[in-house]
Order: sequence, then structure tokens, then C-alpha cells
Amino acid sequence: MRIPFSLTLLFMALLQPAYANDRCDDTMTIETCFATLGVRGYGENSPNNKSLVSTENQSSESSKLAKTNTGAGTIAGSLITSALNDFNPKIQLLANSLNLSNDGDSGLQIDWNNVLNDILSRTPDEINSVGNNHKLSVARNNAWLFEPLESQLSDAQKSQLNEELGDFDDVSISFHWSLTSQSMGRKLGSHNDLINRLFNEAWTRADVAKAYKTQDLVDQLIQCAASNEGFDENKIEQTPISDLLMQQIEQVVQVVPVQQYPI
Amino acid sequence: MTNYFTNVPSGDAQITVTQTDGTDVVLNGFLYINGEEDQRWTQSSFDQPIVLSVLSPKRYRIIVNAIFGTGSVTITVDVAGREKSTTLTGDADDNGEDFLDAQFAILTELPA
Repeated sequence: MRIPFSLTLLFMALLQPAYANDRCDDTMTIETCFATLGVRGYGENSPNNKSLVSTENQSSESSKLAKTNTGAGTIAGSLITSALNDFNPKIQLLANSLNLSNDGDSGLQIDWNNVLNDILSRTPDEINSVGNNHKLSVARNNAWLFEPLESQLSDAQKSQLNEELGDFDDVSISFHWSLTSQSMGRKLGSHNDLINRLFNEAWTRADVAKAYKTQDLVDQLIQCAASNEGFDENKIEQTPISDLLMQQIEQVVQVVPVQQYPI
Repeated sequence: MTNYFTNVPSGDAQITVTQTDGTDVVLNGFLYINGEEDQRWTQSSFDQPIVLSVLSPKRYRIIVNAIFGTGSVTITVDVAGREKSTTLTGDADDNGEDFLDAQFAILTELPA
């Protein structure tokens, strides 16, 4: 998982009421604006530590969540399966011909996930808002006599019945359907509108425009430097003059009021 | 990390999002021109490649954020015959914790 610094900043602004009220105004310098927003390295009271703790907690919770599968099939010993697991391949094929399973059985199972997708989900919007996850499963197992019945039969009767059992006398066909919506399941797309609203609100509250104005200072310098012979746009991140460049930018950030930028 | 395009002449830039082997993805995009926010893109904006008119001597910064659960998401920008992309492959579970922050800067050529 990769949570970039910008996202940490955004959600910090959204989730922490104290930060949410901190906004930059046009009388601030870029530096004081960054300190207000708690940008790392700006201001003595930068809530970097709080941010790190929050990120660690978030990482811990994410880790727990990642280990939690979805669907009824996760219940040990359950005969009920779900058509919605964390990873649904289009086709699953299980062949057990070496009698390696605990019951000594051998068999073949084929699962088709979302085989009717074109019919049940007509448009991308429908796919995102309501999930019709389904699975068609066909399983063939070796046929055996029912054990309680077998124990009541003579050897001759068992032998005769066993000979009559064919290769396809134990075939099961099942269809599983899992509906996911905003209130059921864990389908990300169902919450698309909510995530977009949160994202846009966080973006606005964090007032990241100020940060991108500063970023534009860097871009402006790069734009000028790009006309120099030997300039390589693919090596900008590794350029040896970046430290000096950043010092110059820091100096500009310290003295230039927000309202006097862009240049 | 920003993907830089420098000395770009006026023309069109194309932004494309592709996802492989995944479930669904939530997309948000932002365009800054000369450090000022110009527009935001939401999910439906990415149904088709976004075509952006690039005019010299401006600076364009494109940010595309993708939240997704499984599979791999790639953001590609094609400008002036050059193509750069950023890809993130999610982990195997579908809990929507994978976040791709793709940033591209298109710095047009300055007048002589």
C-alpha cells in the first residue's frame, strides 16, 4: 500500500477537526500557510507526530482488514459459498486426481464467476452502484455409497451397487448470487459517490492550491532550465543541483506573501 | 514522483486510465495551470481518454488519484508524441486500500 504525503495531509485535514478549521488566508506567507496546514518541516507546532501516529494506526487497521476475507465461504466447514470474495477470477478449475484431499476423494470442479455479467449489469454505472456478483459452479466427485446405507448391505449387494455407480453419478450444479450495494458487501464502486465527495471536500479544506503554487515555482524553474543544452527531463529527480535549487525555493517561500504569487 | 514533459509545443495532450485484472476503481483528477486549479475530473470524465489543449508558454500539472482494491491501474499521458505513465499494482485483497497518486507536469517551450 502506498499512501502519499498529499493524501495524509488531505485526510488529516478532514478527520481532525482542529486541522479542518485551519485555513490559509491571503495575508499569510507560503511558509506560515504551510505551518498552519501542518506540512512536514514547516512551523514548530507542526502536527507531524500526530500525523505519523494516525498513519500507523491506519496501517494497523488496514492490515487487519486485509486479512479479513468477505463472503460466507470464509466460515470453516460451511457448505454455503459466496459469489463475492476478495479475488474473483473469471474461471476457477480444481482437479484432484491424486486422492490428496482428506476424504480420499477425487474430483473435478469448475467455477465461472460473473458469467452473466453482460445481462445482469448493463452499464458501467450499474456495475459500480450495485454489484450482481454471481457464480456458476459445477462439481464432479467420485460416487460412493452412502455410508449408513453401505453398513446395512451385504458384501454382494455393495459390490453390485458399486459396479453400477458411473463416473457422473455424483455431480452437483450450484448457482450463487451475491448482491452488493452501499449497505451490503464491500464493493468499492458502490461507494463511488461518497468517496468522491469526501475526496473533493478534503482537497478543498486542505487548500492544496497553495502547495501547488509552490510546486509551480519548481516547475517554472525547470521550464527555464529545460532550454539548456544537456537538460534531461527524465533525470530531474536526480539532478545534482536540486539541493541548491530547493534552498533557493525555500528562500522564496519564506519571504514571498501568498497574495504576491504567482509570479 | 512527477513525470515531466519539457519543451512541449502547443498541441493536445491525452490522459488515459487503464485497469487490468481488477474489480472497480474510484478516480479523481485535478488540473493546475500555472499553479492555479483549472478543473477537476471525476469518475465519468475518465470513461474516455481526456484530451487537453496545451498552449505555450504555460505550465500544466495533472494529478490523477486512483483508489482501488485489486488489479493494476495505469495512468498514461501522451503529449507531443511522447508517452509517460505511472502504474500501481494492488495487492490481492479487495479492500480498496491501494492508492495511486500519479502526477505529470507539462512544461511548454518558452518563446525564444
